Amino acid sequence: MNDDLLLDVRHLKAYFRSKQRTVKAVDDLSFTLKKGEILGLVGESGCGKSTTTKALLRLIGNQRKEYLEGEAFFEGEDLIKKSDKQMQKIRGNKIGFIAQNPMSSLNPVFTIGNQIAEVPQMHQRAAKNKAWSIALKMLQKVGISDHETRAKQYAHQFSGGMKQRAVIAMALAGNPSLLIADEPTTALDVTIQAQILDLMVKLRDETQAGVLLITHDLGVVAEVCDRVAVMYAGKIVEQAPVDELFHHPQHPYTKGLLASMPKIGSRKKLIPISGHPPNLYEMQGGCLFQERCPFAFDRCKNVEPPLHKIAENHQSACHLSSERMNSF
Amino acid sequence: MNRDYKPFIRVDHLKKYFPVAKNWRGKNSQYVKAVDDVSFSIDKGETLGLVGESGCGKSTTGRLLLHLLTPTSGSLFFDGQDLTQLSKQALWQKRREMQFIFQDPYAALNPRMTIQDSLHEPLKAYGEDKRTRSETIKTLIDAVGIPSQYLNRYPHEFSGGQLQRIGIARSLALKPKFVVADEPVAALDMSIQAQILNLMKELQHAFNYTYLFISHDLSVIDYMSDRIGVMYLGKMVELTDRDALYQEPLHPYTQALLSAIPIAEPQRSKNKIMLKGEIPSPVHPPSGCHFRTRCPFAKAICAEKEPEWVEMKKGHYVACHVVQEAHQ
Amino acid sequence: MLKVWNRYRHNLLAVSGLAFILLLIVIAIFARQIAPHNPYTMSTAARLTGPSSSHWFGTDQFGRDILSRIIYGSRISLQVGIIAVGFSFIVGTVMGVIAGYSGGWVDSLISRITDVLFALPDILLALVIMAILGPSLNNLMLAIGIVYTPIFSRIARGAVLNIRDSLYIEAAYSMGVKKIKILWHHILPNILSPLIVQVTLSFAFAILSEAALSFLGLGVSPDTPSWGIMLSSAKDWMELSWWTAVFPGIAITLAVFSFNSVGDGLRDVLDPRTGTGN
Ligand SMILES: Nc1ncnc2c1ncn2[C@@H]1O[C@H](COP(=O)(O)OP(=O)(O)OP(=O)(O)O)[C@@H](O)[C@H]1O
Ligand SMILES: Nc1ncnc2c1ncn2[C@@H]1O[C@H](COP(=O)(O)OP(=O)(O)OP(=O)(O)O)[C@@H](O)[C@H]1O
Ligand SMILES: [Mg+2]
Ligand SMILES: [Mg+2]
Repeated sequence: MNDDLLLDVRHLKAYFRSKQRTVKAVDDLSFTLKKGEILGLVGESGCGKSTTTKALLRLIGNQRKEYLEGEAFFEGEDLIKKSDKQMQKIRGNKIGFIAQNPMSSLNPVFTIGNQIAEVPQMHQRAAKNKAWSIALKMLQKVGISDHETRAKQYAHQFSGGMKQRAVIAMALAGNPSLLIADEPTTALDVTIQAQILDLMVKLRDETQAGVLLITHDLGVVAEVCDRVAVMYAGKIVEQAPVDELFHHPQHPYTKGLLASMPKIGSRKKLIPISGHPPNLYEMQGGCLFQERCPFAFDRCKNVEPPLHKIAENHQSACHLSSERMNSF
Repeated sequence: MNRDYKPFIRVDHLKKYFPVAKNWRGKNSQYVKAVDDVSFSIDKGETLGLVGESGCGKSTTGRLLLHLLTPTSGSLFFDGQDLTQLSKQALWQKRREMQFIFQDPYAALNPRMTIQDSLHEPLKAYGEDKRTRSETIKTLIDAVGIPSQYLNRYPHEFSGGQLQRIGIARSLALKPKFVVADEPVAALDMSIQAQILNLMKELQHAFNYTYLFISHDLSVIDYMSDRIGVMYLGKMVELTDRDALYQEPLHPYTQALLSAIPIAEPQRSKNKIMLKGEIPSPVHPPSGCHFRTRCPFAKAICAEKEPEWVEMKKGHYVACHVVQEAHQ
Repeated sequence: MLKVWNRYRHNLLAVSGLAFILLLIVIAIFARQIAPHNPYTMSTAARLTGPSSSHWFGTDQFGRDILSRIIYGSRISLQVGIIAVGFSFIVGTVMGVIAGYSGGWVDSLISRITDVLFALPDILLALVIMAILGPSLNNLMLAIGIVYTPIFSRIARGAVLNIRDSLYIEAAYSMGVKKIKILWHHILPNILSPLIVQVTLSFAFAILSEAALSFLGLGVSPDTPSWGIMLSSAKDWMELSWWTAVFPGIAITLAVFSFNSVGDGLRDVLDPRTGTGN
């Protein structure tokens, strides 16, 4: 096994079951994350990004309504096989998690400071006043002024961006070796966003932590990520180093995504990718993107394209790009 | 200027102070000056973009405009009427014409109600019959790209972006004349973001909607707005036409903000103006100009006197000593 | 409703609890037909006899059949539980919701009243009320009801305060939903679960309080078959005749436990977030 490897996810499946249907939110997903690497995960709204993070953290499990399968090796151990108790020790300690919805991590009846202080108290057995001072320091680090007063406030007294930063402070308080950040900067203005991204890069530089960063902001991806994985309908459809992906996108979905980005100064009507996102429960055979793909041809209807190596470190799941490779 | 000219929405010297601490007699002694003396107007059919640092008072301004919060002082006119003077019943009638798209889509939906019920609720409140309701909802939900089979699910069964779109559909269901959109596309991927922005623009063209559009994404603001206001620590610091703002930003904070925009081109180096210093506290804001502690151009006068809100060129307002001196 | 039941029935404990409560209700209604003996008939010859084929649960110090007394006792227990807890649940919730939702001086007034009631020990308060009203079953239920009102009021007020600031309440208001509707559709369903849990707990306490007060001569008369009276009077004979205490004890425990597990089950299914788990 590779020593640099921090996270190795193989054939991960996470479904939501109800009586009428099964939603295949994550379907046979594989990727790796090296130590000290920042991997960007982008993709259409509802394609299964958050579900992936929840599966890795085992916030969804194998139950009546949820189905989880596959392997996810973190520092050599399979997270999927761990007991709930073991996971509790890992969450918030070795793996820091910034949930997409900050309110799901914040309790409305405890002060923000108490909730952050709980992390070092629980995982590092820090004494109460020590934990409190760690909490204050973290709040300061994420750019919340007047942190001593603010620490004693409740979630509803914080602005949207302040809540988000409180959750970031909580995730970083445990000094994690893997940080999973689900849209951590959606509510932050660009200057504070830059500060938060800087904080993550620092964490990476100083402790060789790996970061899985989910974001819709391709500008953010371009600035901080080393590699990008593009997800569509529960699967990874393209994977490449940042430069490569922005300059030579292969998959038609990636191309469409890049093209629908608004640019300052250009007032042209934005062009979204045509068609609707697929239902995740009535998946037809073949390529999942074919109905919306301007280049689709016969084979796309019948055969599902596997992730194909196109260049060093660059993979794409499209018949066209693999064909182009073969014709060379 | 025409003397009879009445803007659609006008706020004068609007203030909102939140108490944060009580003294020993149980009286409020300290306040967060969330919105501190802000004046502006919005024309009918216009989009005013609002940007600014996290926690600077954007959402609070939006809430004040819809009278969801009672202002500490100041007046606010909607369609020629002072909302603070209206009776309960009259205000309720007016509510139909003004809607809020909330920043946090998870929290804005009751977790125990199906999406269907939540969508019907506002229409029911204004006495629409069942058929009209279902039709309105069907059209909207299609327009934002949520399959109608999903309607009887609960909020926790949706992804972040799906909920955001449901929130948008819910706010637009009443066909309001004025919409405060608080970070309405923060959780959407570029392609669906494009779809939603186009939808909002189309509605504006068709029904002459007026928007207050709050976002931290400056390319989205650029695409949507006619005029843009920049806030810093409870105050408006600059307000002008979109083009003027991007081409010749006057206020140093606006300049810093524009320079910090992440660009979706890896390895393109940029001259970012990194703001130094801590974000000052809204409880004890700096004397004089609030921005002076982080301003690269600050002078002695900035600490002594609060800069005035001056129209430097036609329609271009700015509050900054340095700029105003340079122009004299 | 059907959906709630479908989720509920997967919880074995809650279903058993519900089954036992239903059984109890049936027993209470048909006590006369079910009971093998008259619960009041004394017999000096059969004093304190152990369980046997004619007296399955044995007899008490007056020779009365314990099984029959337990069967009849279910009537009193259920009646006291339902009426007293129903009273405190309704009155307490209304008070708490008004206090929490309206705030201001109304809140201060209601909170002061509940604080005062809360400060007194339960039994003492009940004793005072009973002393004023005079001993009878109705007054006993009223007294127990009053004693448990403040706790419901507190829980309801706390829960309302907790969600009054939620964004979805503000969202509904901003969309023109009237305050009274918000109360019905958003606030009440969301504060129900802590109240339901409290109902089950109070049920247990009500059954026990009835016993205590009856024992002190302030409730039903001592020869009335009531689980509480049976248990308290058994304490003098327990060492010699275990059955006098054990069977009423089991009855109380089972009833209390059933109400608790029903409460837990309900709480789970009423919340769609935890309800989806197992
Ligand atoms: N508990 C659930 N039950 C049923 N379906 C669910 C549940 N949670 C998520 N889903 C569905 O699974 C799919 C993936 O959801 P997920 O939250 O992972 O999307 P996402 O990629 O994070 O999207 P976004 O960018 O909008 O946050 C969505 O279509 C969603 O509707
Ligand atoms: N209900 C409240 N009670 C006390 N303080 C509040 C309340 N609501 C907002 N504030 C404070 O008012 C200030 C402005 O908040 P607001 O939500 O308007 O910021 P914002 O500009 O929308 O920020 P963001 O971009 O992070 O959402 C913040 O300091 C916040 O803590
Ligand atoms: Mg998500
Ligand atoms: Mg906000």
